[in-house]
Amino acid sequence: MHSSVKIILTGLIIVICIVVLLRVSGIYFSEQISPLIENKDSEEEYTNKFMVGEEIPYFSLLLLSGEKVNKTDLLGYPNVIMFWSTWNSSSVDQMKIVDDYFSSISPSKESKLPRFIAINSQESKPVVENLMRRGNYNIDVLLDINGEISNAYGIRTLPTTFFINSEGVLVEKYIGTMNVEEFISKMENIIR
Amino acid sequence: MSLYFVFNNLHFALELIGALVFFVMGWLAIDAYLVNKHHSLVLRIIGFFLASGWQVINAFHFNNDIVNFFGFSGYILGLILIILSLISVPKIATVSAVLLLPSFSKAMPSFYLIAGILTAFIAVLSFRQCKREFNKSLRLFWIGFAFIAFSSFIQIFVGNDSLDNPLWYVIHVLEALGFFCFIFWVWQYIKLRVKESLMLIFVAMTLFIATIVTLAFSTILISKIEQQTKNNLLINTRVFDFSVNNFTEKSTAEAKYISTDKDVVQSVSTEDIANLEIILGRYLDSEKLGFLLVVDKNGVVLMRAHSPNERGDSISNERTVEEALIGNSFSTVEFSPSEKFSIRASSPIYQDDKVIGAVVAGFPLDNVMVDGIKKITGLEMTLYVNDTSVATTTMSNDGRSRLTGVSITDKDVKEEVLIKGGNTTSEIYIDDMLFLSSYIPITNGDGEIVGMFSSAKPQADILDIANSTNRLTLITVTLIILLLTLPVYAITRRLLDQAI
Repeated sequence: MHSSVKIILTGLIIVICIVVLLRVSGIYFSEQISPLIENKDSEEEYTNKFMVGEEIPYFSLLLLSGEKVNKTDLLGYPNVIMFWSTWNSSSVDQMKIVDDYFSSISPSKESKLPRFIAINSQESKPVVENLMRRGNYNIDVLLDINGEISNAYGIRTLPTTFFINSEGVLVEKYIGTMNVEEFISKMENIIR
Repeated sequence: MSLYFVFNNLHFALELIGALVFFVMGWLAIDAYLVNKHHSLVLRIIGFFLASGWQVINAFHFNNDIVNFFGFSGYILGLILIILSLISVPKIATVSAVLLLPSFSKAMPSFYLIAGILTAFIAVLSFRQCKREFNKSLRLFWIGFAFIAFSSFIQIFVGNDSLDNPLWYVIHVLEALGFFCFIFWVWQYIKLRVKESLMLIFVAMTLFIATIVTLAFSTILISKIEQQTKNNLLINTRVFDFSVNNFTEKSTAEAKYISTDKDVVQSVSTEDIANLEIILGRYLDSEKLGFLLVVDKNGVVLMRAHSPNERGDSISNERTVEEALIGNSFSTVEFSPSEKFSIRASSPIYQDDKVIGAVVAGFPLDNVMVDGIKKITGLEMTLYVNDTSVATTTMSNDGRSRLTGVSITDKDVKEEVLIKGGNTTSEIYIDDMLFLSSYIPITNGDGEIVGMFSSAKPQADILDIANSTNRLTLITVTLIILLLTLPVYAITRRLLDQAI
């Protein structure tokens, strides 16, 4: 074989080997390194009050506007419920991520998406209202002032997000902060 | 105009040259097909045109996954077709042969891997053909492919086009070498044929002129846009400065007002915590304050309306409380253990002309506040204490956490804003993303600079405008040139026909 071709072919083979090695060791492809926050579902199984595939527990809470919302109001279309509090910065970050997403899409598309409800855990109305006003967040917030509902839902870590289908059955539970891509893909699971 | 845009335009020009080269190679293949009608040439023609299409898509940086996906798939399909045409090439081959594969960077490294392997394969096949037929004219062809293959492999490491990666330059140099090989290869065939050369030169010149015009146009446009964005950013930071002043005045007024409330005075003097919680909670809500707290005459917190469980700690060393307890109203921007970095104003509470405590009202300068401002301005907002970010709307690459706790390394920004107290606008990398960012200082009640505020726009947003402008300009200019020169071309052909 021509000597210059040999050199070029050898070069190509070396490059391919390096690529394969790096892929295997995961040095370069940082996006494939496991996410910073793991879904801790398996660890929490023992403390779960209800499991994926079961119907969500009953609740009846007030919106910031004073309107009452109970579980039966959610039936008929998919819902996403997030438990949060104002002092927990991760849950405020999650609020921003979700709010940014919903403000970026057109109203006609939004009507086809699940309803997003944030249940505040054990804080008073002025505190919650204050945060929602300052951040200009446009999200429905329910107040669980004495923490009964958080307890019924087995909340131990904030934020915890429940993806619920139109029959009121829990499809997925996520503990921690999701980025927008994860949030969208999980929403797609409950629309189907 | 920044280097960032210069390189973006160079990339645009190079990829268009690639598209042109592939197009001409496809054209040559058509020519060959007209002569010997071999079916393998049809595959090659389609393959080259698909590759040319991909080059155009690559040049324009479509931010559309569907376009990119189909484009790249078309390119891979094109390469496979070229390989097939090489394998089924007739024993005595006509001139046109293998084609090259250009490199492209997108989120899927495996795509580059496939492209690299396919181009390398084409290089080897064409080399074998070159050897078999002792056809020296194919040399440039396989060398060009080898260059493109190398550049495809390196592209795996670059992923999304990041101009700060030195490999980006290596890729483009290799690509350019590959394309030049192809240009010389193509030229050795077309220079011998007058009509085809005329046509090809005509098409090439049209595209060349269109590219030059497009680049000139976008260069002017982008430098204007960049300048305007800088001005907007500065205006925006001033708007923020203005709203901080407003918040400060509002806090001062509210603190004075609440400190004179008889119920508040009564509850502080009797240390009636339960009643204070109710009264202050009502004020927090009705006056739309960020936070509200009351301290006794020793500076110990009696009640925080925004966080009723946190109380009993002493904040007598804070400037606002210090001043209030000696009888002065005071406003500043400072750090406090509970409300962190915040706008704070205080007013003393008097009973029988003696200071019995103080009201502190204000607004936290936190993530929630910058989120609220971003909702109005649409720009990324960041607050710094000295040179370290404490609140921001910018998310890190993982999309989950905010980029707080990051220090500014740019010395010019530090000197201009934190030391001299002026405004500045500069390009800055935050977590590998390039931003155009404007800074203004934040001063406290004693006139000292305690931090800064910035509003930023990702450079990628401005680049998107540039690329979409390029797209439209190129199409328009090409159409205009074609319209203008078609009559000349027609006449030239007629004259040539008569001459021959």
